[in-house]
Amino acid sequence: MHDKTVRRRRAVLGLLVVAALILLTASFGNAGGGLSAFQRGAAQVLAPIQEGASRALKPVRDLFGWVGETVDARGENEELRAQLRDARRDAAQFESAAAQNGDLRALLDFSESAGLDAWEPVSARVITRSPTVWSSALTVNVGSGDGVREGDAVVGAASEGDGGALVGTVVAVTGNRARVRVITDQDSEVSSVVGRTRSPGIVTTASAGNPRDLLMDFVPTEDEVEDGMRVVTAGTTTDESLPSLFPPGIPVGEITRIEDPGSETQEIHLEPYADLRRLEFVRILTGEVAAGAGGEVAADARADG
Amino acid sequence: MGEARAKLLARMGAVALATVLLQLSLLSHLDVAGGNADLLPLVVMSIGLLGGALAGAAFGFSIGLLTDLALMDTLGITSLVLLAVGYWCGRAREVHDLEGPLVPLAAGALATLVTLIGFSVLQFLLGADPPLGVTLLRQITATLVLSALLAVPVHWLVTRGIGGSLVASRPHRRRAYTTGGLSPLSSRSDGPISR
Repeated sequence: MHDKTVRRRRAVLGLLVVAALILLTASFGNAGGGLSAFQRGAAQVLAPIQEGASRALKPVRDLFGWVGETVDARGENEELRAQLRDARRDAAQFESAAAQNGDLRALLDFSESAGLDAWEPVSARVITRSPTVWSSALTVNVGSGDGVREGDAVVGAASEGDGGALVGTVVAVTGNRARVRVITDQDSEVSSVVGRTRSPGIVTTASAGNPRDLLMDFVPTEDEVEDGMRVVTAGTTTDESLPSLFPPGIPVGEITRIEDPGSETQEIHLEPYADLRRLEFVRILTGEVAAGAGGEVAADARADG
Repeated sequence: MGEARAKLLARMGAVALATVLLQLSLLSHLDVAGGNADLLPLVVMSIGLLGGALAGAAFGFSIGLLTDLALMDTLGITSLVLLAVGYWCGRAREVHDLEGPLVPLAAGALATLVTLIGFSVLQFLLGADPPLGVTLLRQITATLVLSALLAVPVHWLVTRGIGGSLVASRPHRRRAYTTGGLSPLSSRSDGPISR
């Protein structure tokens, strides 16, 4: 009985295998024969059933597709967000680079047009900024190794993006760093004149830490100064035999208001031209002013030692 | 042919048709991680486990033929692969008397793997350019995982649908070797000696 079962099983298995191989061979080698006709006929019979099944199952396919698309969309959303972040970062870098380029170009143009090239300007990048309102100071990435010395004047791009303006003075130098005291610092004093009237005065800070307000003291009360007048560096000190730290004619600021005009207590307020809050680059004037020359450049002096 | 046998064949035919339609109209469209669940080897595996080697082989051959006909593909390829799957699943059930909840899962994964490999080998032998590399590997892996997940519910459904009739029609398994009742221990039970 067992042998019979085994023989039967083997026979059926062999028959099925042979049938499959015959079908395979016939189907593979006979493209247009009888088997092909049978296959076409069977497909024709199955076609409506398949179509019905396909239609019936379409909602399920759609549901699954919707789920898949939702998942894909979520993934795509994340990807697009990442791309947007990258694009924003690139745009920010580009804008920053463009702004820096603009500042540098403005500074270079200013140096050229204002005749500051004779002061051997050295370009520097602002690397730190004083975090407190008590001192207004910057650190720049050049130092004595670049020819910078204490007392050198520092100019930067004007806030209007047009030309340059006075920023401050170098107060400390190391080999590759320099500390710049900004004109809004409490200890800063700049010998200046009102451009049109040539009225002399000393520009100091109006309120500590306020980068938009300066005060011009010691202006002769008889001189008529008005809002909107430009104030530039004088190039001299009160003692005309002593040179100023600053070359003459560098824009400092514009008069914004005058309190008690013409009186002994008049206060002339200026708004500095330099955008002291957003300085990225400055130029340090490393040339010297010859004593008694009243602001003339002695750029050769350093070269001579 | 008895009425019960005719009913069983009709049921198996219906299961085969439903499986092919479900596979071709639904599951083949649902791409999950680069692969599709393959219902065919799972149902063949299930029939083999329930009905034995002959039933598995015959069902595998038939459902393969139906698939090739429906797809208007080269006849015989799917039949050959699935009859092998059905036969070996049936033999495994007959020889090892497999039981347990994890059997369908393991057998389903193995059946799917054999189907995928067998189909690939046959296609390769017939001159098709196989999509070798990462694509094929990913497809095989995804299909294997999906099919393994579906194996248990599919086996449960087939068992519920036609399992009883299949088991009833299954020929008696060989009795285990006994001492022919010489041992006094064997007289305590009328059934086969437990192994």
